[in-house]
Order: sequence, then structure tokens, then C-alpha cells
Amino acid sequence: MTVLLQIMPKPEPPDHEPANQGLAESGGGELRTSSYIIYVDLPQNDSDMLIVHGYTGAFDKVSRRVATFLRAKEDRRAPKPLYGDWAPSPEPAEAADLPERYEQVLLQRGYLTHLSREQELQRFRLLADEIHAQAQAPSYVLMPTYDCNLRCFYCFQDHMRTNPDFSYLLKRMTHPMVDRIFDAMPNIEANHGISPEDGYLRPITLFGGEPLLRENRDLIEHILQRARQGGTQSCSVVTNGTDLDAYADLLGPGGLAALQITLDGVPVEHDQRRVYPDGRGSFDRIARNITLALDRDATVSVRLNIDRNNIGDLPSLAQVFVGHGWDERPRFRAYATVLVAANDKTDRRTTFSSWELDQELAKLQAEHPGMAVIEPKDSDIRRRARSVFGGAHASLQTTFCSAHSGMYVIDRFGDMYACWERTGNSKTRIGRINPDSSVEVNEPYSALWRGRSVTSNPVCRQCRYALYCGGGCAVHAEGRKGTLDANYCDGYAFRFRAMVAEAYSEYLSGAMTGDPRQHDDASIMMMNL
Amino acid sequence: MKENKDEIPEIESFNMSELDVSGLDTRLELTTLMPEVMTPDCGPSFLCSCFAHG
Repeated sequence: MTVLLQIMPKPEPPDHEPANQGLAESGGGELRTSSYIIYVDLPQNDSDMLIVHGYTGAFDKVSRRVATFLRAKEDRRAPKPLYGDWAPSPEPAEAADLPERYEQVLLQRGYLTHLSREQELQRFRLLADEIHAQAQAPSYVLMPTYDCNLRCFYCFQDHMRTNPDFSYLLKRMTHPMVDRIFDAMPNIEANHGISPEDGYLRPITLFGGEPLLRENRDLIEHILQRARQGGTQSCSVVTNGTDLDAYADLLGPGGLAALQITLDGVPVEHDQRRVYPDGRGSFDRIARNITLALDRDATVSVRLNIDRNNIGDLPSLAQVFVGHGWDERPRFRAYATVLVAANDKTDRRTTFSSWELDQELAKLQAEHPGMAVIEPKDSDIRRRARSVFGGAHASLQTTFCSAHSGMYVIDRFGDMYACWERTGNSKTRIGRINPDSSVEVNEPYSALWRGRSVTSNPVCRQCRYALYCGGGCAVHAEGRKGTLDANYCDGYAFRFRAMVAEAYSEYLSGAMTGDPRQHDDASIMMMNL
Repeated sequence: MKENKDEIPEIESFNMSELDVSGLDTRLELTTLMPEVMTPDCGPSFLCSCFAHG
């Protein structure tokens, strides 16, 4: 969600703001380069480069001379370029070559500063914490069941359906529990400073397990009914798409309006991966239902879980999409993301990192123009950069996802979790909804999730990419470093620079308005409902 | 794009042409410069790298 910050009144004099004393630019220390500049070198361009500021959100094109001037004034090691070499290394003497009026513009845009490194770090923390405190609007993910009618080998919830110890999870949510949850929402929102009179439209997503199992039809209707009573007309759903035909009349605006559905390759490959318990494949049924959903004007976002075994299918899969006519449908999009080794049935050696996948996709896109129908996951970075080249403000985020702001994932037991990757274990819940719809918060665990931001660990708060990346996935960070409150970079510095350079190239070629498949922020908001 | 060609031909600004943080000294003034704050929703439009699900 995009939160518009209000213009705030000028604050009281500094004696009311003791934490900010000493941060004034004017009359400060020696001029130096900001610690938060991102240098985006452009392929096959030796004369210019882009610079992006990490917390002011400024995007500029500068000559190599200006970039070299800034790099010479870096008080820490300047990052290596993504393309080619930056040679020769900048000499301090080069800094003297830039006219004073250049320095003034670079100061205004934040690229130069009189703040010391520590003072600028403090400024970054204050700013990010302020933004984080204001970006806390609640959203809801309801889990009607942990059960699923497919048995995909890589599923992170695989144990719930294959280990009898977890069979208690597989019952579906009851109607009274739906009522209990919706009755509790005003209590949750009160904790965010939202009153019923505010008319807050609740973003609601259904997740599972498989939320749209055929036998859940009555339950889903009841959820939609309760959502509408609160003013929310449409919900989004993460679904495997196998039973969508049972929900045909509920699909589209005013009902189940936005769907994420997974396809994992051409039919023969998909049918090896996304299978029913008896081993049957699911591609044909899902494909029919995607067309059905598009016919009903639902937005369909097809997710492709890609590893080294199915990436070669993508050009053919793109042709399958074209064959179904989906590429001509304005509410269709497809994106490729990395398959994650979430259980011992997945061989880590077959998986990609996000940066590796971006590079492999770029190669395929160059060789197969028809692949344009499949976006890389990082197309979101590219899309945001394109809007900046059109004059928009940069979108800054203090967290990787809404698990660290206002997301409530609520299961059939009324247990509340911050993240859907950490559901099904009441020991990790951030709270629960009591039978009387009062809300009980597990403060230590809630604080752990909600308090994670780019300022809560020392790596992120000193990172020039932090407010674009948000710190990475907490669950991945915990897997790598044993704690949620750590960074998970996933090659973000490479991915950001590559996507911004690509966006600039598209901007120069006038592609910004020429491709109807390129969703702008407004359409993303619409999809978020 | 703001083109500073008259004064500074080597810097071209794409956004926030009025940006000036050279004299800022408080967090509240700084936040007024950031009207767009993103909190990615964990919904179907979020191109996430979450664990794959079934």
C-alpha cells in the first residue's frame, strides 16, 4: 500500500527536539559525499551515469566527471560498477575541479553533505523511523484452511498434509470463527488509531492451504458478505486455481477480484510439479480457470516458480500463454521468481538466487522476444524507476513487506501471525482473537516482527539501498543468520542497478507509454484493492 | 526532467526539482520531502520472493 504522508507543521525549536541537535547542514563539518549514494552505471555509456539518493529519493543523470568527483569524496569504499570498470580510480585532487555551483546543487539534492558520517546515520534513522511509524495501516490475510488438494514437492507447508502430527490443522474455518474475526477487526484497527467513523477500507486477501477448495464455497461467500458489510467490496486471493470454476459467479470486481495463480512450466513440466495426491497433473484445469477468471474481469497474476530444471521451458511457456490469448488480456500478467528450497524434498543445488535468475531471464529475453510476456520479479523495481524518470517521487520503504507493519494473517483457530510463512504454530503467533472478539497480543513476538525495519539492524541502516530494498525477507534472514532482525540482501544491489539502468534505457527509447502490459502505480493500487 | 543546462549542464534531475536538504536540521522537515512511502502488501500484486506454496 502507498501511504501519503501529510505535510507536517514546522516543529518546535530545537530544545523540544533534543535528539536532532547537531544535525544542521549549515555551519557543519567538512564537505563530504553522502553515505547513501547509489551509482548506477549505464551499459555502453562511458560519458554519463545515474546517481540515486538513498533517503532523499533524488534521481539524477550526471557526467562521469561529476560522478568521479563524488566518488573521490566518499569516506568509505565506493562500490564496484555493475558494468565494466571505473578507471582510473578517482584522485582526491579531482574534487577541486568541480565549479562551486555544481557543489550547491549536489548539496541541495543530498549527494554532498556537511554532516559527519555519524550525524548522517542519525538523520537516516530518524527519517526512517518516522516513516515506519506512519506506514502501519492494517491489512488482513485470512486462511480458511491449511488443507490443499495439491501435493507440490517444494511446498513450505508440505509437512501439514504429509505428517499426521499436523492433521489437526486441516479442518476448515467455521462461520462463527469468520464472524469472530470480522467482529475483532475494529479492535485491531483501534490499535492503529483507526476508528469505525474513519471508513477504513480493509485490504483482505485469502490464503491457505488452498482457500478456494470446492467444498469451501459457502465459507468464502460468508467471508465476502462480512467484508462487504465493512465496506470492502473485493478481495484478492492466492490460489492454485484448480477449483475456480466453483466460484465463477464470485470472480471479478465486487468479489474475488485479484488472483495469484501458480504455473510451473509447460504442461508436461507443470504436471510433474503441481500434482494431485494421486499424481495427476493440474495444468489443463488451471488453464481453463485462468481464462474463466479473465472472462469475468478478474486480475490474474501468474507466478512461475523457477529453478534450473524448468527455466528452459520459459520460451515455450510464453508461447502457451500466447496460444491461450492471455497476452492480449489487460488483466493478465505473469512473473518469474525463484523456487525456494523450503523442505528436504527440494535440492538446493537446483535453485537460483534472485540475481542469478534475473540474469538468466535477461539472456532468454534477448534470445526470445516472445518472452516479453513473462516479467522478472524485479520488474517492480524497473516500473518504479520508470515512473521516477517521468518525474514522480521515488517510492521508499522501511520494510521488505507488510509483515513488519500492519499485516494480520489469521487462521481457522483465530491465531494471528505477522507472516504467512510462519503460520500453523501457535508458539510463533503475534496474538489471538478471543471468543468475545477481543484481541490478545503476544507483545514480545509482535514487537519482534513489527519492530523490524531498515533501522533495526546495523547492516541495513548503513546501507545505501536500504529504503529501496526494505531489508529483505525476515524468514530468509532468520534461515541464514538465526534471527529475524538481520539483513537478507539477495543480491539487491546488483538487481537494483540493473533494473534502474534498464528503466533508463526504456525511458530514452520512449517505451514508457508504449507497452500496455507495463502496469503503473495506479493499476497496482487497483490490484491491491 | 529538470535540465540544469543553463547553469550546470552535467547534472540533469529527473524528479523532485524543488528538493533542497542543504539546510535541514529536523526529522519532521525531512519527512515532508517524502510524499511517497511504500509498504508492499503481501497480496497477489506483490512480486515477492516468498516461499513457494501449494
